[in-house]
Amino acid sequence: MTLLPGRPVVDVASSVGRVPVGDGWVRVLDDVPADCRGQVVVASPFGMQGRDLFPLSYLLNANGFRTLRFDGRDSVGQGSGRMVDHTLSALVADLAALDRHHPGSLLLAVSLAGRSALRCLARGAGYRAAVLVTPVVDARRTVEQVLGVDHVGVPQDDWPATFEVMGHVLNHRFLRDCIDAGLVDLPGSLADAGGVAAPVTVVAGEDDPWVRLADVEAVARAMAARAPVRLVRVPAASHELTKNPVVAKRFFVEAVREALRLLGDPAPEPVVPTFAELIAARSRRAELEP
Amino acid sequence: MERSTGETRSVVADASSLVSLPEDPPPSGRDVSSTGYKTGVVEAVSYLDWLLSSSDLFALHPEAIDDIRCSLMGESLAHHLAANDRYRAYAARSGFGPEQVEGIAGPDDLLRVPLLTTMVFKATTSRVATPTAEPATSTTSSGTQGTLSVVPRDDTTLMRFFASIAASSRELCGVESTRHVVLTLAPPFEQVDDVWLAYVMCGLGLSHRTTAYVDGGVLLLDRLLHDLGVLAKGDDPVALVGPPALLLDVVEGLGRERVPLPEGSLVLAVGGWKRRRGEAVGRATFDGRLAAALGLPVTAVRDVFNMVELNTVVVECAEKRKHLPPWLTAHAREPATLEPVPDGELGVLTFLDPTPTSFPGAILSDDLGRVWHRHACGCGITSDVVDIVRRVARTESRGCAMRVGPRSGARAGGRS
Repeated sequence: MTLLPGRPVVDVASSVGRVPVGDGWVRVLDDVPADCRGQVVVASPFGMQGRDLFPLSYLLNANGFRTLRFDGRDSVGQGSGRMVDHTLSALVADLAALDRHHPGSLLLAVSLAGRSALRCLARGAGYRAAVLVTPVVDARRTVEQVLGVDHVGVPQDDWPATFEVMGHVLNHRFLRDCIDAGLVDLPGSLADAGGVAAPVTVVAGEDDPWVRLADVEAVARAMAARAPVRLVRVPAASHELTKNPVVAKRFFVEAVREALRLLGDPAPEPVVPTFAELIAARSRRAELEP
Repeated sequence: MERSTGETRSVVADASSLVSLPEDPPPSGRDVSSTGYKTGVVEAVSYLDWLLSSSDLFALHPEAIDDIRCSLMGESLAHHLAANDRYRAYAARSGFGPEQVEGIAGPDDLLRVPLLTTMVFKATTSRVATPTAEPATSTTSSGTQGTLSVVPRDDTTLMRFFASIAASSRELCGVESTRHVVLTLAPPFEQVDDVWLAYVMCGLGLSHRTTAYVDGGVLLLDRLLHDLGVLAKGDDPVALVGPPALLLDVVEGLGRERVPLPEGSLVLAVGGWKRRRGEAVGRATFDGRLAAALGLPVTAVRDVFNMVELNTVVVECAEKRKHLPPWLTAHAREPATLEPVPDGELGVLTFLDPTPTSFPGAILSDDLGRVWHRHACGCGITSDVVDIVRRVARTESRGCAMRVGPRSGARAGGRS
């Protein structure tokens, strides 16, 4: 067969487990490569579960990182609870639990998970460093861009019974939590950013219609008051990385480069598996993570 | 849909103007005292890749689409003419070169692009491959038409193909990668045997929860029916994807039973009847039987067109029209002269696809069909649409070859 890539597919030891959080649990997909040099907790974007970030995880594995992808509570996938009850605060707690369970990890969070990651870091979680990819720093604005309506700006009595966000139905808990927990807007993000002490790299698209680069820059400045911060800009790139693997690869390679840099490599050049290798590798995992 | 960095810009005619780094990028890796953080800027995403990751692609204005096609195809041709010696030499015999690429100003100019017949893809990639820095994966046609076509796809080409699937399936079928569970009537990766369609179905596993239901050439009907029953009780929509003959086998397997799938589910017929052509049924019958068996509206049964030499999928809307995405150009042409035929008339189908980097995406297909330009469809989309009627019969193709005489008076862009 000619479809197998020239390089051997990265060999990882994989397992599935649970980490208890409060009354529930998160489900963890744990992949450990040979010659492991570090470990990364990988937080998925809104509406996605751990298996959906296999390409990013594999890229990290190829560069010696153990990856801990997870299905959060009240989210899609096999964590406890229901997606309809999804909140950013629950994800903050999930990330804190994973930090306690897997100390010394890097944290890599994508999109809306980046907001929860920022809160988690601000509260003194022990993550040694973080990479935030297209982080949402103004949830109100992002939700408005996605839904076309600024629900935060209207009284709760006027909210619809449920919201459909990117194909997922949510009840009022999501918005209520955003507002009550101070997770809803840029001032909240700036306040959290000022409390971050761990090194952080942000990888952001310059043409992101859902996240203004200027807002990300403001958060980076706020973080830089206490922590080493790096902002990597990807010109001409938008937000939804799932639409085109070429764009996703651009962001993810930079995220891995930064993860290597945060581990101490001064001039990291990530090993980048081919897309064909990803297809082959993913196919081999069909039993473990369908 | 517009590209914006803080201000609104119209969709551009000159794509090259977008692929540029900021004029004064901040110094990379050094402290910038006004910000307090270090900065880095990476290589810009190309306009084509930005387009492939955008939304509302099928809402673009037809004139903007013309500009996009001319610009992107021009860039693609410039790349292949520069890097592909054989294509350059072949194009030169038609009087087509860099100067003609520079002169592409409107859709009519694209009719001059030299086309590759499927014959040049047969058995080897050496006649078509454009060298790139990335390794290429070669896949083949199914072989039902005789000698296999072998097509080299480097990583960028392969990724853009899957981007075309994501774009069209989302906008025309409502498929969400995070929600739809995909059941493929295809073999697992180990049994793909380099066949393009089967390989594509495996590749869907990168973006969807996907399960394959063919093993050793046999449809795992019992397992599929069981899993359909389980999924029918849940909320996640299902996309059942496979060749039409196997899809009807599923219906046969259900017998009188019905498995009403969750809202948003759909059936995607891919690959054609192939060796089971004798069992083909009419479209209305096909759609009706599948819809009834799976508790779906007939609008949820769609056909998907692709050929191994084409790096873009063409997907049907709910009105059963196959809409061309904005980067893909199609014509129906008179076989003897390759002159375009009027909208709605039968001709041999040609495609201009800027997405492949490892082979020129200028294809003279083996299919007869019809094209309508700027068709205002009942689904709400106005776009070029294509109807695939049938394969060119071998006697017809030989006849076409005999009728192609000296090129005087004929457009450049003949067959190789």
